[in-house]
Amino acid sequence: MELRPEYLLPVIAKTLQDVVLPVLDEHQQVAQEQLKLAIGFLNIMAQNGPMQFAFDVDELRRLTALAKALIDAVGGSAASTAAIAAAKAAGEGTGVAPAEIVAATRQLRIGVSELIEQGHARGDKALDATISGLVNAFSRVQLDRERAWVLPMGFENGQDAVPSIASQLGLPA
Amino acid sequence: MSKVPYSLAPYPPASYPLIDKARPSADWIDQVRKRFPTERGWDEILTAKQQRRAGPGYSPIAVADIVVRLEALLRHELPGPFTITDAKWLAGGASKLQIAFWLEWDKPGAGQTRERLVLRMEPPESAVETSRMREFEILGAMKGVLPVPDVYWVDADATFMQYPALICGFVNGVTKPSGATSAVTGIGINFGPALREPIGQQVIRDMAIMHKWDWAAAGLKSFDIPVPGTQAVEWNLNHWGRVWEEDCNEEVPLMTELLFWLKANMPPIDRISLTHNDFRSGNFLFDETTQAITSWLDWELAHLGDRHQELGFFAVENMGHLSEDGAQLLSHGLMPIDAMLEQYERESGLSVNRRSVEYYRVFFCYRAAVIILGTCVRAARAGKTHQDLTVAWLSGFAFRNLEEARSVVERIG
Repeated sequence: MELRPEYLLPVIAKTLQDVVLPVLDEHQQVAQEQLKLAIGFLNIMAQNGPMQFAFDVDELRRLTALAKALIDAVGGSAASTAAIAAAKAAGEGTGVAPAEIVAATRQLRIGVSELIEQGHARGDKALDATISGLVNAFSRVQLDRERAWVLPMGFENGQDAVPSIASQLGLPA
Repeated sequence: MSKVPYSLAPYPPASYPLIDKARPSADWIDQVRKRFPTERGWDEILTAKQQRRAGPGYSPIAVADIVVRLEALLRHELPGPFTITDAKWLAGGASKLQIAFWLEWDKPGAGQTRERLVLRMEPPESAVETSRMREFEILGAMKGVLPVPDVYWVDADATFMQYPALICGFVNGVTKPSGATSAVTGIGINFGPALREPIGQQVIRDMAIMHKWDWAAAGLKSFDIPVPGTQAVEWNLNHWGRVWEEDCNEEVPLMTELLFWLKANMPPIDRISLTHNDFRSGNFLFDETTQAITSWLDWELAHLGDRHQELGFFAVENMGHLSEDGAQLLSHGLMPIDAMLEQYERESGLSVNRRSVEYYRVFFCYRAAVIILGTCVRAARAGKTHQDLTVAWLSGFAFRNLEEARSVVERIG
């Protein structure tokens, strides 16, 4: 099948850029801005789309490791333990559908946030420090990935650079 | 109340009961309200938003239809004849519907007048949910204190308009120099070397005036008055913690961690000040010829709290850019933050606690993530705004904000 998003999305974006944008009334600023954003999103989707599955699998693997470490520190509820088991199965399974990876990740995010709240609610300074350290370490890597993912949107101001998402995920550039 | 799983549609269903945040039950709304007690006015605003949540999305409204309702509103407000002409959509403003129009009317004290006015109206759900009545009240109170648009009428309950709305004066000016580029909603505005000094001085002057202003004498009926200490800080944190709880589409572990840190490190307030709460480049207009600030805009988030809140916002590095030689980060495109804080102390005579500035720097990064990763994503997915694509685009700014908050917390502990 040749009609794939990674081929069609840039074609649509180029057509909007070359044909539609130039003929918009220059006084229609809202319409112009919305069209430019649409073109921008199409280009980002075309660029990142082929890496989406690798991104999601990587996140689920690291999130599962964080959840396990938090359960070791805080103790886990039945729900969070079950979420980890489901996430582990999804992350390690072969032939797992992409939607299952996303669903497992989202459920695990809920479990992890609940563990963070439960742990901090105990008022134990040492436990607080442990939790903060674990969340901080996970988030540093996760945010590097996410900032690289949205790099073409132009929100970085050049202070510190993040490696490309392809290099972070170990994919060919 | 522990976190409750919510609908992950279109992904496979979870094996336990779900909360559908797109159709929140009265019980769930009440649970969240009790978990995050906040200022009375904000509680009402956020509760009303939840009660409307299951309602329809935004459908395009023709300018002519808006004018018909506007005429009805003005017939109610004005005793004499009037004429509305040349109504047009205004560009910018991702959170509110804005239309400029000319009104010819018998203006009290001025006689027959033709002037340009602005209608500001809420979409079904906004990137930030606020009250037109509070905005109307504070705009009126700030007249003569700072340059603000004249404010005329409010339709707080959408008696006449499609949605709650207010009408204010149109002010000439620009948010950025002609030809300058920036990301959406004013992020990273570059004023250029000639403008940034005079503009920066005026920003500090106006901030100092606002923080020293006698709000108690103004009788702000829609605002709760906090006592010195941490009450206002806690209200503020609960406001945004609640918005995250109600709006987020997927949990973010760092957001949970940041709210814990913010609550554990609340700085006591020594003096209660009016804070604009979105005091930044992009939210004021200036005259390119005179270089004078002509108006401060978007007062909808104003509240009584800590002056350091504004200073902390200016300390947020991702809102600034590097100087031409790359040697300095210019806070909000104006000046290095240390210079700004020193000048603020001199101008206002008020002390600056650097730890509090860092605290509010973390707060604003957290709040930005609440708005753009929580509310914006939810509103755009449900088609609730007039600029869903702009609102969706903004969500990409969340990760840089979160990284800045994370790195500050890691550094200052």
